[in-house]
Amino acid sequence: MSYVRLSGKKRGFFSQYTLWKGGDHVLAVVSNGYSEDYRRFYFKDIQAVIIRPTRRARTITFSLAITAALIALAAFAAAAANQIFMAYLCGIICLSLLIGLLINVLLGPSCSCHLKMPLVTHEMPSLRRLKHAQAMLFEIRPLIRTIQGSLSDEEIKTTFRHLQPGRDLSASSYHSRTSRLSYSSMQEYAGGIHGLLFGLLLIDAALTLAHFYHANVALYFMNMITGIGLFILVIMALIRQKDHSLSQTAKKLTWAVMILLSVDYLLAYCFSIGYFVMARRSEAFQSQWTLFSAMAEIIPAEHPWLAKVYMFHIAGAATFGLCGIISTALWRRQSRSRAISRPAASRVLREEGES
Amino acid sequence: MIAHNHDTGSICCSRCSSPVPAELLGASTGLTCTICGASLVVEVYPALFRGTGPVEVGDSLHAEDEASCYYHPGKRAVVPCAACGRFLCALCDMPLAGQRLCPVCVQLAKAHGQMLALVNHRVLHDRIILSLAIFPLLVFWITIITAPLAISLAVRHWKSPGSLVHKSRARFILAILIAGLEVAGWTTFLVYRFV
Repeated sequence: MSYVRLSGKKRGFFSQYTLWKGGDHVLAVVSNGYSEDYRRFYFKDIQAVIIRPTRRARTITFSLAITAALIALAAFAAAAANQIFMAYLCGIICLSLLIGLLINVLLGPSCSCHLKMPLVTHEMPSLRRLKHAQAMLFEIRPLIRTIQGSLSDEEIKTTFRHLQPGRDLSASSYHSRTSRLSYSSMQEYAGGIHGLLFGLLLIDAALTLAHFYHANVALYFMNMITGIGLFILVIMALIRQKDHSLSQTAKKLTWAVMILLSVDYLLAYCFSIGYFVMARRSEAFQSQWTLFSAMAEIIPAEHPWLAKVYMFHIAGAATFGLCGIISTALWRRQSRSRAISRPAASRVLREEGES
Repeated sequence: MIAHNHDTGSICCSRCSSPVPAELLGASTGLTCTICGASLVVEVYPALFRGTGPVEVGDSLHAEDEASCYYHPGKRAVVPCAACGRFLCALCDMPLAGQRLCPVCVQLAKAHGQMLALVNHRVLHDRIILSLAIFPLLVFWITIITAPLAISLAVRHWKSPGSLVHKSRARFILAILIAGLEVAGWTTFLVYRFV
C-alpha cells in the first residue's frame, strides 16, 4: 500500500509526528529517527473532525517580537558603547528571532485538531496550524464521504433525535444543563477578592504617584505594604478564579496585574541593585533601617530609569485597577440578575416537566 | 446474542469536554462552546450515528450434526478461516484486509509481520546503518570496526521490512558506499604502512 504525506508535522526533541493518507485510512507515524510507531484511523470509523483555533501562534509572535525588540535595544546600546562584538552578537540573535517571527506569521493561526473515533477522541499533534488542518480535511473529506456517504444539516439533527429520543439535545436544554453544570461545579463567588485587589491597585497607583513627587519614608513604607498586599491578593485571586465563575475580562485582568507586578518589581530590583552597587558602593549602611531610609529618599525624578519604572507602574496600576473594578461590578450586577431570574426559570422548567 | 454500545451521537468540546448540542451541529459547523467560550469547527460524518454497532457473539448449536466452532464447540460455525481452514463461530470470525481469519492466525500474522494492516512498529535498519557509517567518522579510528560492521548489517537487513511510508533503499546504498570508502581507506593505509 502506498501512502501520500498529509500536510503538517510536529517535531519534538526525540520524536516526529506526521500523517499519511492510505487507501482506506489515515496513518499517524511517530518516528524517533531509528524506529516508527503507527496508528491507523480508518475512514469508515471517523465520526467527526473537531478543529479549535488556539492562541499559541499569537503568543509565540508576541514573545518573539518583545524578545527581538529587547535584544535590538541591547545591540544599539552595545554599539553606542563601542562594544562591536556584543553589538554583532545581539544583532545576529535579533535577526534569528525576526526570521523565526516571520516563519511563525507565515504559518498562520494555530489550532488543535481532534479526530473523533468510536469510543475515543484522538488529538492530532501534527495539525497545530489551521491551514494544515484544513488541508488535511480537504484531502480526506472526499474519501470519508465516498465510504460513509454524506448527511445534510437537517438529516444530522433528525438522526440525533431519532437515535436518542429520551435525551433532549436541543440548544435550550443544553443551556439549562450547562448552566446547571456551572452552578453545581462552580461555587458561588461574589468577586470580593478581585474587587479588593483592583481597589488596592488604585490606591497603590495613587501612593506611587505621591511618592514620585514627595519622596519620604512614610510614603515609601505605605507603598511597600500595599505592594506586599497586592502580591498576596493577586495570588489569592488567581487561585479563587480557577474554580469559581467570574467574567473572562476580570480573569484576564488579574493575570495582567500579576505580570505587571512581576515586571515592575523585577525592574525596581534591578535598579536598586545597580544603584547601590554602582553609585553608592562607597557608603557603608550601618543597619537595615539606614538602607531602607536611603532607598526611600531616592527621588525618582532625578533618575530617568527609575522615573520610567514609576510611570510604567502608575499607568499600569491605574488602568488595570479601574478596568478591573468596572468589570467586577458589571459581573456582580449580571450574576445578581441571574440569581433573581433563576427561581423563576426553575419554576417554569418544573411546570413543563409536570405537564 | 447481540450487545449494543450506546455511545453514539455526541460531540464534546475539545477544550472543556462538555457536550455540544445537536441543534448547533451540521455537516460542517462553526460554533462556540457555551461553557468555556472556545470556538470550534465541527465536521460530522455518518459514522457518528452508527456507533460501534451490534457485537456478534455467536449462536449456540441447534442440532447435533451442525458444524461447530473449533474454539467454541458449543457454538455454530459460520465461516472457515482463510488461512488455516478451521471452522469459526461469529465471535471468532475476524474480518481483516478482505480475509476472514481466526484469532490464532491473526496473532501469527502479526507476530511474523505478514499483514501490513497489523503492523504498528517498525525498526528503521537503513537509518541505523547509515548512522553507523557516518557518525564514527568524528572519531576516525573507530571506523576500522564500524565500517565492515555497517556493510555486513546492510547486507543482512537488505530485505528486512523497513518504514511503511518511506520505501526507498537509498540510505542502504549510501551507507554501503560510505562504509566501502572507509574500508578502502583503511586497506590503503594498512597496505602502505606494513607492506
